Formats: sequence, structure tokens, C-alpha cells
Amino acid sequence: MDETPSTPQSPELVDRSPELVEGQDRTVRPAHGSSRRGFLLGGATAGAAAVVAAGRRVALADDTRPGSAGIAADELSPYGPNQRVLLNEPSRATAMISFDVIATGRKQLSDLFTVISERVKLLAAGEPTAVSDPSRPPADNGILGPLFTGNQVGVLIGVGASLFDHRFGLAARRPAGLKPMRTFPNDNLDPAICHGDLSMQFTAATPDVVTHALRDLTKHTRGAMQPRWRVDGFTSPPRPDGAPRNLLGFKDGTSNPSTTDTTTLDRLVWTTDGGSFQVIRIIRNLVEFWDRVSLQEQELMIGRRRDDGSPLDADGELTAPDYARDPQGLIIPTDAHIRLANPRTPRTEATRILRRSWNYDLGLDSNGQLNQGTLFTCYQQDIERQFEAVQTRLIDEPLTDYISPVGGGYFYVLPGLADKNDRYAKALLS
Amino acid sequence: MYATGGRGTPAGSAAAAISPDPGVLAVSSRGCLPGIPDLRSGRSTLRIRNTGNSPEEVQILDDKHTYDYADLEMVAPGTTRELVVVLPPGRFGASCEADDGTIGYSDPFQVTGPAVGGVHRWIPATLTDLGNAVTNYRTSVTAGLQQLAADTDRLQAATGGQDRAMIKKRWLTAHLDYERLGGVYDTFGDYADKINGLPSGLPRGVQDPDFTGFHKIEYLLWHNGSDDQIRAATRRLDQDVHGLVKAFPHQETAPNDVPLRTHEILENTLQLTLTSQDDLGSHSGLATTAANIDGTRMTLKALTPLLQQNDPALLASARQAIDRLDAVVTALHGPHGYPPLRSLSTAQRERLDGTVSGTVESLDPIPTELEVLVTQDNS
Repeated sequence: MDETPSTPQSPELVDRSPELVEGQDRTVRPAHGSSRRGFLLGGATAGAAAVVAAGRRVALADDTRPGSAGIAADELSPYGPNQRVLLNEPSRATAMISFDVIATGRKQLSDLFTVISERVKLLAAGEPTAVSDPSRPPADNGILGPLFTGNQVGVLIGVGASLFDHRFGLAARRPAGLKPMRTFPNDNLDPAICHGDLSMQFTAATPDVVTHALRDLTKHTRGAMQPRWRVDGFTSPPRPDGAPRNLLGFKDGTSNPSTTDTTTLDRLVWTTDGGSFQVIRIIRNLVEFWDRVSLQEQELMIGRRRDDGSPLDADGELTAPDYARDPQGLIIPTDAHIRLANPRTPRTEATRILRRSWNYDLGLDSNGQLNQGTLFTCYQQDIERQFEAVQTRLIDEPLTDYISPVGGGYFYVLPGLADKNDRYAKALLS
Repeated sequence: MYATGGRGTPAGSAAAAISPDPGVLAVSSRGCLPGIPDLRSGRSTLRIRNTGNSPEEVQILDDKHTYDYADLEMVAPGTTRELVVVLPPGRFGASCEADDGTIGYSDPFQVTGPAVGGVHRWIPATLTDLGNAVTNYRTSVTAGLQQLAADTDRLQAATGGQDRAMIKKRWLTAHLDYERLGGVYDTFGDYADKINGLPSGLPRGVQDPDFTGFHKIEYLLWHNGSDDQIRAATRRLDQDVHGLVKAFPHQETAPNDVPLRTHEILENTLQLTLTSQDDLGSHSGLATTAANIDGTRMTLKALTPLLQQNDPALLASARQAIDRLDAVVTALHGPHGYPPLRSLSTAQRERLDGTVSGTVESLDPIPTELEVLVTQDNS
């Protein structure tokens, strides 16, 4: 899986969403409808969308095959009842960004979601990036060169509880169970990196594709929403196999609910209207301190071996721990992270969450310590029943001395786009 | 500058041929690594499988069973783990300790070949050793608590008057008393948060009703809190401190706590004090750092007889590191006490942060080496 060389895309991949191209043709606007200057006047929608059909024709010469990070191409599509992008294994690169809406009134909010939707469709379909109107700055940021084919970036759009305050008259529409992230006893939250009206995540096999999309979305929405906080993440190739390692050196993400079994997804992940609840936690890892702890103590805190990810009571990463055989916690302590997080009992089955974690590296703390950690996300049907139940079990776990949740938020991931004419939040705003 | 203990030492693999793979050795109540082969000097990796029903701890010892050369703690039934050891020429044996404390010994085996570098040996600590260290340590803590209670009494007395400068001075004195006791925060249970908790983790932060103790008073004193608020918070602190003094004789200190705290006190200094996260207005971070160094010395003092016997080189390097740090911090003390952290020059800050970091690196072998596995102890 390590940096697969670029492979020409198969026609099958390119042709995956022909209806999208038609849709783009219909939304083409004059190229100088500059979003940057004209958002609130309604001119922003798809300024760079001219001649999308041409973009489709050049799609064969791409740089990175979407499948190279283990992401099936179809799971980058924004179309369908759900935003299925969230089911993907963590991509090599990601940007998580939270925004506050500064547009006023329902109409402007609706326009914002229209622009977001059009940009997401465009990123999915691809676009030519050559300058089409030399009297204006280029519509595309050019980071991906002159030929940007679509279907390389996953975009995930969520809304926070604050969007449902008095500003847009949406209080009665707030998805049941959506609320501001609460403070847990071991948290050390910095308000500057918490909450937000919207969450947006970009995932891709390479950081430039993430940056391209991030720049595109922020450019076309300026004046209507303002970035509040952002954390970029990465995952590593398997070392040497199995789940990727976190910055504590342990494999992370070994045990998760199935993402292919629809019964499981309907029971744990999707809400009845096709959404899902997203929990984001920016969890600083005190890596210097951690590296000064004996391997024995590290493994007892986690409940797994560091070398190969096996639970302490068995051999093999994928072997399930057998807690019933060790009720006193002589082998896997009763307060080990994996045991508290998922006790694997019938009673706790409904509390399971779909975890998607990335590593982050934000440079240095004020005293020269490495500011690294885990960009933890998880998806569930019900935040209280699932994430909060898990997190409550983890209160004061021994690992809390070495990790410090510093930010994040709760969001509701909107249903997917039904088709090329659909837009995000249509049901909420109708 | 660098840790000189067993961890991280290059294993001298160049000095000797790699021993042949002896295959998988079994451990169970029926035997301790039967068939363990003779080895070449240098680095060896033994694959050990627990074929029994109880977790086992395997150690490689010299033939007199005095020195430990390698530990494989807690091999669960049905699992295979690797034990890595660097051995000099000589005669050795393995011990296998089951969960119930029964110990079996392997047949002796011979290590032949040239002398090698990277050998680290130490006398393993016993629960009795650690128990003695805990007793020593608790004696010092008891004395420190008496001082703390006397100084919080004086702080409370000062809040009867209007002299804010006096109150702030007494606050600092009492707070530093507490910071010198950093080694026992687990033992103190809920009192630790009541007396020295930070507002992080509380839903309403500095306004939260559960935010109490030194930092609450600090916040009030340096943010124009009213006399009444300060009096109430101080009274509460004084009650909690006296509550702790009463409770402490009945609170248990886990055997591994003292070795763990030798570096953990300064880990907290690095994480909370040197980032100013625990500064609610007093800017007394350097004084806190100095108090934390005293607290670290207290843990090391309690472990000195044990380390002197089990690993004198480790004790010497730990002392040297703390002395060096102490000198760096003391040099920052001026005619008016310690300056605020943010007034230090870049060079001073780098020297301070870097020396604290280097010190914890030098201290971290202590718990790893002295730790006695007590898996039952996580209730």
C-alpha cells in the first residue's frame, strides 16, 4: 500500500458519473461571476464550471488513482442517500475545517448550501483549470496542474447545533440529539478549536488534492461563512501490516463495526433520514511523556501489544480479546483502553461507534514540546447512546495522563445528494 | 545530557555473532523454558510461548539469581512473545513466575564468546523494597502536609484583612508547599482536585462551582475577586487541606508510585507549568518549577537506599540531572524572587525547557527498572 505508483485510470472510473457532467452543463455560469467578490449577490455558483465536458474528456491523464489509498472510487461520490465518504478507511491525507456562517437570513444560508453543493459536484466531476477569462484571476488555484480530473477527493459536510439558533429560524428543525460538544472531566478544551456551525472534511490519497479542494471551497464561500478552526491529518501506511499506527506507536482502528453490512450501518451509523452524527475530537498526544513510559505499562494501558497489535491475551491483531475468560483483568486490565472502550458485551453492543482517526502534527507547543495528536472522528446514530457512553466509560482511564482532548465538536452529517439537482440541507431549509 | 540507564543503549550487536534461533521455548507450571540452549555472547532474542493456564513473567538471571538481565512481563496463556537480552560470557538461568507467585527455574545455560558492550544488569526490586520506599516517602509527605496546613491557616488568617499583597504572598507560600508534594497526587484521591485542580475539564471553567482550591484563589486574587469570594475560597481550601491531613494516614500509596513519580512530577511541570496552563494570574511558574524539583528530590531520596544497592549508576545519573536542573532554575532567581516565565529571554527559556526535558529523559529508567508488576492493582 505504500505510495502506489500512479496508474492510468480505467475508463470505468472516469465514466462513473456521467449524469454529473450533464448536470454541470446546466449550471454553467459566465466565468467572471466571481464568487470571491460576489457571493452575497448570488453570482458565485460555479464560476469555474465552464465546459465541464472537456474536463471529462481529459480525465485519463490523472496523477493519482483514487483506489491507491484503499478507497474505492465510488465511495468518493457525493451522490446517494447518505454521505458514504464517512465509511472509507482513513485516507492518507485529510483536512478538517469548521466554519461559522456569517450570512444573514434563511435565503443567504440557502444560497451558501447551493454553492457548497455545486462545488462538491464540481470536485467530483473534475474541471479544466486553464484560465478561461484572462481579465480575471484564474478560477482554479492550479495546485493540481492544468488537468484536474474528478473523483479524487471525498467531501463530508456536517452542521453543528449552533446553526439552529435564532439566526436562521431553524430552531425547530434541529436534528434530535444534536447539541454542543460537552466537556468531559479529562478534557482541556481550547474554545478557539471547538464547535462551529458547519464541519467540512476533505479526504484524499495525497495532501495536494486535499489542499486543492479546501482552497476551492473556501474561495467560493468567502463572505458567507468564515473558517473557525482547522486541523490537517494524515494516516500512515501499514507498519508492517494491519491497521495504521497512531503517534503512540500502536495500531489504531483494528476493531470497528462493519461498513458493508447494511443492517449494522442502519443500527449504528445512519439516522432514519440518511444522516449520521459526527463527533470530532482533537486529542493531543503527550508524545514525549509517552516515549518515557515502559513498554509494559504502555501495553497495559492500551490492552494490546505494540509490535503487532495483538490483544494481550492472544496472538494476532484480528483475534478478539476474550474478557469473559479474564474477569479480574489479570491479562488485559479492566481499565485498559480497549476494554473500557468496547467491553464486547451484549449490553454495550448498541454503544459501538464507527471510528475514523488521523494523526495530526501542529508543530510545537509554547515550550518546545511536539504538538502532535489524534484527529479522532466517529460516526453514530445517537451521540448520547454511543460516543458519550463510550467516553463516559473512559473517564479517568490510565491513558488520560498521556492524552489531552483539546478541541472538536458535535455535528450532524447531512444526507447525501440525491442527484445532480439536489443540494445539501435541502430538507432542512425547505 | 543523555540517559545512561539500560534503555536505549545500543545492544553491542557488532561485538558478537548473533545467537542461533533456539526455536520457541515453552513456559507453564510444568516447566520454565525446558531445553533452553547455550547462547553466544551479545544480543539474543528468545521466543517464548506460554503453554499453561496462568500468566507468566520470565527473567534472565545470573546463576546466583542476583542480577536481572532481561524481563518479559506477563506472557498470557496461549501467546508467544519475544524476549531480547544482551548477555556477556558466563553462566545464566531463567526464572518463570506464575501469577500466583510460584517460581520455577530453568536449567542453567552457558553463554560463550567475546566480552560485549551494551550489557545492562540490575537487581530487581521486590514489593518489600518498594514498600520500604513508600514508607520513607510517606514520612516526608506527612511532614510536608503539616507545613501545608500551617501555611493555609496563615493564608486564611490574612484574608480577614485588606492587605492583598500579604494574601498573595501567603497564597504562594502555601501553594509551593503543595507543589513540593507532587509525588502523591494519586494517593490524595479527590483531595488532589479539590486542593490544586485546574478549571479545564469543568463545564463552566473558572466559573464552575467545582473549581476550588489554590488555583481558584489565584484566579480571584489576580482578577479582582471580592473579599467575600476570596474568604470563601480560602476557607474551603483550608477545610480541604485539614481534611487531607486527617485522611492521609488512611490513604494507600501504590508500591510503584514512588518510582513513577521520579519523572512524573516534572512531566507535569513540562506539560502544565512551562506552558503556563496552570497560571491563573500569579505568574509564579518558575517558583512552582523549583518546588517540583524539590518534590522530585523527595521521591529520589525515598528510593536512594534501593537504587544504591540495585543500580548505583542510575542513581548517580539521576542525581546529576536534578542538580543540573536545579542550578539552571536557581540562576533565574533574582532580588525580587523568580521573574515571570514570559519575561525570560529566548536563550533562558530554551535552557530551562530543554534542561527539564533532558532531566525527565534521565529519570525515566527508574520506574521501568524498579516497577513490580501488580496487575491486580487497578481497582
